[in-house]
Amino acid sequence: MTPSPSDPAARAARDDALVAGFTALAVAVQVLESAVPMPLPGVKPGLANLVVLIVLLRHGLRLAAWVAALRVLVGSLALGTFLTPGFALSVAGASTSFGALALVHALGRGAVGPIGYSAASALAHMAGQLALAAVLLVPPAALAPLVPALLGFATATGVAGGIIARTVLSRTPPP
Amino acid sequence: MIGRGDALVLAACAALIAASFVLLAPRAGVARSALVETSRGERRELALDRDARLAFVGRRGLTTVEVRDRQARILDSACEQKLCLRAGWLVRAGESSACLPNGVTLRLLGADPDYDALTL
Repeated sequence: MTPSPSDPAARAARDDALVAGFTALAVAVQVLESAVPMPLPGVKPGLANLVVLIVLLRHGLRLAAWVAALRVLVGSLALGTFLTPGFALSVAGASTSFGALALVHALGRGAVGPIGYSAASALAHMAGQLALAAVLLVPPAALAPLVPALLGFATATGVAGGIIARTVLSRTPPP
Repeated sequence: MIGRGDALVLAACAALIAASFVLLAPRAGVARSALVETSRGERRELALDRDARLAFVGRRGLTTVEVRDRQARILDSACEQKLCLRAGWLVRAGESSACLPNGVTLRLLGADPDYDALTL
């Protein structure tokens, strides 16, 4: 956590500004990312979640939760997927990936760096999406053979994302 | 250059992926039986563990279905183009082959009902 202004109102205003700014950044990244063609549905670099990770490491769990939730909502409105099956998958993925971030934060704060956070979060994101897809959309038997490969791919992108997050954090001075 | 904590998290991720492979891979797409349906309303489920060669009466004549080594195929059919033969051996649940002129279809069934397409 960064040192906060002692005045509660000033602190709330500062937090609001941070959440708004980072959410806007995450939504912009998500929209740009959706324009990049990917070989498989559900497979993407997950760069929007990096914004959440950076907020978590710089400003703590509470602000990161706000950015994660608002990013999904506003991103879906921007992309026109609000309340579609894709939106349900997005909510599931964002929830489980944030859960993983919170778990790593609770257990390994200080010991785990951006790469560990990002890998766990990406794996949980894919697992959450697959779990919901198995319940709602696709018969589990049809999904089962793809699961290990998709989880492995997600973890690999998570590691790559973690390296990006680490670079960003090391090049931007803490506020 | 990753720390010990990162390595620990990555090891846990790898363990989860390995577990998903062990738990899910064997179940994938294993066919339980073969289902033959004809336009005359005949519907017969064939066990895949017993090799067999059976003829079904369709609109134009006979369609012969063969089961061997837990696979199934249409061996011959009373039609001109023999498109159904090109499907070859059906191995996984959900695969199918059909002789439309003769009105006979062959389909492998799995443990769960399978869709062949999904549109969102």
